[in-house]
Amino acid sequence: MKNYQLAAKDLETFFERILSSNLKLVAPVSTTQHIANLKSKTQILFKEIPTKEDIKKIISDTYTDMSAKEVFFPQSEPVIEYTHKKGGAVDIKDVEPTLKETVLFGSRPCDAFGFSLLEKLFSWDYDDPFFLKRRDKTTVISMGCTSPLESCFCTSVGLSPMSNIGSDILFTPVDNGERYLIEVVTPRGEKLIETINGAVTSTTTRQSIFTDGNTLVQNKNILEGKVKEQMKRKEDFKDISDILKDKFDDSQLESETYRCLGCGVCSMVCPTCHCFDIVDEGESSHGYRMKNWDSCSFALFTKHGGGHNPRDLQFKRCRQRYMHKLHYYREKFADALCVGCGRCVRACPVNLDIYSVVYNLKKAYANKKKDNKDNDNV
Amino acid sequence: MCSMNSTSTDKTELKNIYRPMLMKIISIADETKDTRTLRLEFSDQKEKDAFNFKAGQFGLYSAFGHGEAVFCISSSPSKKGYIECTFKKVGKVTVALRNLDIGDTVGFRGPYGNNFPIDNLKGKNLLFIGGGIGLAPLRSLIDNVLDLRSEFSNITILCGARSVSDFIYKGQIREWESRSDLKLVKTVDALTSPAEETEWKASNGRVGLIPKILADINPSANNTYAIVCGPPIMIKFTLQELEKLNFSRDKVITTLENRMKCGFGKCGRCNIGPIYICKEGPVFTAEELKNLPQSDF
Repeated sequence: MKNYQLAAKDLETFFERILSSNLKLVAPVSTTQHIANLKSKTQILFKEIPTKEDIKKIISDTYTDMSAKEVFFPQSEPVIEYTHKKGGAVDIKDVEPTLKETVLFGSRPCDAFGFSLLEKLFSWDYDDPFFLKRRDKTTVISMGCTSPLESCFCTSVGLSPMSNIGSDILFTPVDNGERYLIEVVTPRGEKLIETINGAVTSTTTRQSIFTDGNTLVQNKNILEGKVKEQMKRKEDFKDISDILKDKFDDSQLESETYRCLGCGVCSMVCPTCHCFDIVDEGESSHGYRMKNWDSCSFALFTKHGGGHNPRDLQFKRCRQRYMHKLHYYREKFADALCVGCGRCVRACPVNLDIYSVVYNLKKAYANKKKDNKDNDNV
Repeated sequence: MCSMNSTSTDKTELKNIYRPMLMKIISIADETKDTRTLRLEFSDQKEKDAFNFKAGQFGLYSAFGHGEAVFCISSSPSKKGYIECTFKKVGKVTVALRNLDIGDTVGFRGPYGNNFPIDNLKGKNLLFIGGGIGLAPLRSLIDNVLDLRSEFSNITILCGARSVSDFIYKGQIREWESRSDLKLVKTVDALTSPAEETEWKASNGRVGLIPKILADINPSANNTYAIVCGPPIMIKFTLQELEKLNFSRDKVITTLENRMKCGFGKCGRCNIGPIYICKEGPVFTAEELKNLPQSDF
């Protein structure tokens, strides 16, 4: 696919052209929520950019508190609408997901990889129309990372701060942020570039804001190497699946995760956590059946109606989370369900850190192997 | 890559997998003071004609405005035109389902999951062991087998409940007792009065936990499949007893249930280790269960 470049000063024009092409634009903005008049909390979240005036609110190269999975898999969404009629009859109607062509700008390469991981689950034998239809209508533009956070560990899970899996277009700021290398990854990405250039839909002539980007590829490659080098967390997660296979009843996993409070914030901020609940919301006469985010960290998640709970202790729930992400998902879908974004590490109130857990498990495993070998040699 | 897959097929035609079919309650049977069976008929003729299931499969039943709950289909696939579910009053949805009357509408999604391997059972002796409401999924298979009676060898049904009044399908158990082509053994954990004791013993009822009664009747493992369902603790000890009786693990079949929301492998809660009960179960052999982490049951 093609490479383009865009001068950093033309980024606003780029957004304007997305809006004037009648596309929905979702991008990171800073939002302040006031919580019960007691305090306010400022977060960087993905929000719709409704008008040209809102473009200046976009923070184009940033880390967001929540991932952009909400664009495809909202925290709460109706799946059917029910109405009770007289005589015990019920009417139900499908709820169609909003299907406006959308451009998601500013997700990170790790997030974008997460979308492709979720796609495997949501098309596993039963196609989830809500996720898949939105995915089909969304062009993902990711922003390559030039200064990863200390908690980031994308290279541990086989990605890079500038990898393009799951993105339609990848932006990378090069030449000290003066311009972006724009790598088109998919035909959908190419279509967007054409649209923005006016080649397809515009009735007025618009000047292309892009120029050839091939000359920047080498700069990007050098930069990518440097950024990878800067990353503090480098432990390879590749063999953790095999280690965890035998760790289910291991006391180390229990002690590593013992301090988990079960608050579920890790699942909420995670780009790949997808567990959900199905509940009816509304009045008894009319309402909606909702699909709501849920978390395996919650005690009620697996509790049977009869009272039995297979995961009755917090460490068992925590173990489930790690096992699911790092072992089960890989067995089923070939990839682990962690993209190394580090959000759960930053959000956890008790500093439970998936990277450290893996690091410690690997270390203990290596020591044990070494001990066994030493014993064999005696 | 993956994102390309989604563009290669038309997504606009995808069906809403969360949409239930509408069913009417055509009869209600109270099994015990808190357990009820609903017989349901599809409201839509096309859905009724297209519907098919196999013994062992399950579905999600809903009371609109209250939510969905997962139960097996407890009627036999050989009985066409309706399905039945048997459930105990334990929470919001089951209470709401109990508040519905004949003629009222419930939602149903399914059938989901795998099924009992009925073809492998042909020509074999069958030993059914059901504890409490665990008899419900077995009933679907038992009725299915009895409708094809000549294709199976000896049939034994061992069923138990906490007390005499806790038996579900009391009428059907009497029917099975009266048949000469099967052996029925029934047991209760305890009796509540001398009068009950006299009556129970007169009807050949036994007293004792299922694993103990199983040891007493000492069934031969030769050419026999055991099909077991009940509360987790009963399954555990029954499987141990069957092992003592020399049943090989691949000839012991059980069906599991966990809390479920979607029924098709997405909501992420019914797994035991790497196995999703909704997708890879609910029917498993004891051999398959042996490899799963025991502390996740």
